Amino acid sequence: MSKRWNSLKKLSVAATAIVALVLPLGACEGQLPTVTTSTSSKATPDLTEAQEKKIRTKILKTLDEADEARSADGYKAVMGGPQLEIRTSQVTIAQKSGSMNKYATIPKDIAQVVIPTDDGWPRSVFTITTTTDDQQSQRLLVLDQNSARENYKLVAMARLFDGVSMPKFEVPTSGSQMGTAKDEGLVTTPTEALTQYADVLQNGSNSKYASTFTDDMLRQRIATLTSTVQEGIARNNGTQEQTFTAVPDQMWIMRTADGGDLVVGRIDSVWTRQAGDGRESQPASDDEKILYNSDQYTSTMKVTYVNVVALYIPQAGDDAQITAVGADRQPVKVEAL
Amino acid sequence: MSPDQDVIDPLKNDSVEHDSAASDSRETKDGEPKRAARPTRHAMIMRGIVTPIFGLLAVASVVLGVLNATMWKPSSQITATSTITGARYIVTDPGVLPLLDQKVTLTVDPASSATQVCVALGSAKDVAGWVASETSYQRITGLSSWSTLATQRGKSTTQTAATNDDDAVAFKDSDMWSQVKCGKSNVTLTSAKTNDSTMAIIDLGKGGGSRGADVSMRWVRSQVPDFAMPFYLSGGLLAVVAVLCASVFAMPPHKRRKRMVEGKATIHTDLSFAERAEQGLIGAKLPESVPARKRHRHAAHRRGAKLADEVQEAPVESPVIVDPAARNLVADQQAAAEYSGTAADVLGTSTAPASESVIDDLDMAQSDTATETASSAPDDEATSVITNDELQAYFARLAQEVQHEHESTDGQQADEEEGNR
Repeated sequence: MSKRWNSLKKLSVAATAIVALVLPLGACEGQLPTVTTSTSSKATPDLTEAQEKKIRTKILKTLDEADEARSADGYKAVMGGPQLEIRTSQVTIAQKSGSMNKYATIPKDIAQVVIPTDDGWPRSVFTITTTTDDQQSQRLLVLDQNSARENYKLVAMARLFDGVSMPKFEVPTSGSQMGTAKDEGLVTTPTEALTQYADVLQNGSNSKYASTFTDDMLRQRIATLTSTVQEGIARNNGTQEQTFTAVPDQMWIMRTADGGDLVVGRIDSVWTRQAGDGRESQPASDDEKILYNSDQYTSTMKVTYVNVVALYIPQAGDDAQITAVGADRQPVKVEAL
Repeated sequence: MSPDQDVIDPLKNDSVEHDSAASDSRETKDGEPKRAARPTRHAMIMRGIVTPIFGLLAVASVVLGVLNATMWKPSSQITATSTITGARYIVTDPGVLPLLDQKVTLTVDPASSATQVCVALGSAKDVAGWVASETSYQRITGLSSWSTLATQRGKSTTQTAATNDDDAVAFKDSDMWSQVKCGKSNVTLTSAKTNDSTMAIIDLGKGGGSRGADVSMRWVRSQVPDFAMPFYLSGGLLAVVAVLCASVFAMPPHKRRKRMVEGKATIHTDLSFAERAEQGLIGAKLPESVPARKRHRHAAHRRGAKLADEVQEAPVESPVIVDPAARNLVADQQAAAEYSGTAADVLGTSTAPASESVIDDLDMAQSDTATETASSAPDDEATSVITNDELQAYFARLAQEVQHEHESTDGQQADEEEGNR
């Protein structure tokens, strides 16, 4: 009897289980999925390489079209900073000379792209192109997005010096961190470095910061040019003066893989040449001549240059020196005083 | 009891007569399993009620499984729609786009085609940056049901000053969007490889927020939940249970248990039977009765005491047992008592052939004679392996030795006494 009762009990339990299994049936789509936000705090790059290429290609295309039209009107949409002034000057010269300055060429292919991971704005992407078709050195491009509602603009371009060794950067898929103007732990802060480099360009080996920077092509060329001009001016008892002023507001900084900073900044320079003995001071180059666009000379000529320099600031160390890895230089205004 | 069973097993027949009425029903079950003329109540319940229940459940499970695999199969295409108004920009939360599949199609149908509507995909931080200068925007936070999108009003945490109009680009021209589509109505954008940080942002245009738009997201699920397989599995299990209920569980529980015991017991029965057969002690009927006894061991046990005359047959006629320790004294005693009372011809027929094959012929013959002649001393006969003659010879020898010993000890004592003195 008890066995039968037990089996009945078992039976009822089994039946209950089956009913419980069968009851919640019917057409259903399964459990409603919920949004799971990934909690990984790993910073993601602001752009993919494809996006960077799209942006850069669009900029360079606009640039090419404006170059072809010999008009600076199209530049403003895709360029800013020192590069806008330099390019405007170059296209103005091209209107007269008939061809763009060979240094204005920007290759379409790239060797490396450095994409930041920073969330806010402005954001800067550093791109290193290949060498040009005529075997000029690589270009370092700085594409900057000032705010979310603006687009990337080419704000600076530096021609890398021949044979210079560039610092390493994080791969674009993981992204690099952008530096700040006040980064510590380096040989100097980026702002200081730009200011000091302006002093070095102005005073050459006489600068008290000369030893902070390794020797580079820009310093050599400016020194050579100055001494050449000095020779001529000295013959007629004239004077020349070149002042370099750093513009820390237009400075773009990217952290390198070894903890240093690559700084691309603007240094304005004014070259004032005064001829002696009542002679006229004339343009020192074809570019200056075209920019001056007049035959009315006076004894004093003031030429404003826009310089873009790329400085690699390593981490502070015993004999760590700041290296200028690239530069660009273009007269933008020539005045006769 | 059927008469033919008497022929097969007289023992059993006997036992049934002795058995109580209660055990009679069991006996019936035990005795006639193969005929199944009248199944027990237990078997009837198991086969008539439980098995059909499980069978029906099994069929139901399979049917439900088939239904879940066909008619009720969860649709792989999920389209969720909501009408969203109140803000110019509508953004999806991170993780909403790839909620059901990597590939998602987003369709925006504005209430009026007065303004251009744009849909774009961008990374979470880019989208957040774009709407950061808005006072408020609408968020699509997920699914509130399988056909409705959940929405929520979003407020930008960091109010950034709107960029001046000169530099600002139109929504569709922003570099940040990986994909952008614009139109006056039914703007559809498909995101093929959506990752968690991809967000969609919808620009309803200036003033478009007040009019609103129908936003729908459509996924094609690559993995649809499989509800059919559990049903198939449980259906299979239930079918197995049903079969078991009809067969194994329908048997009386004691019968299922007995089988194991029987396996052990068989050996003993066989051995003793072999022994008996070897000795030729077993009657012509016995070999036939053995299988019957196998089946009815319980019964045999129960009636063991009452069957003394036949059960004890073997022990009585076991002069073969050389080891005296193995003798059942009580049984021997009883047997001896019976022999004294019963006819001697029974013994004569059964023991005579045995004495031929017995190892100890002499002992046997002597014991026989002893039982016949010296029935007054059954103890000696039963327990000892020594015959009366031997015993008497032994006693004679003992008496002799004792006498001799007495003499020698007397001499020794005399010697000792002398020595002591």
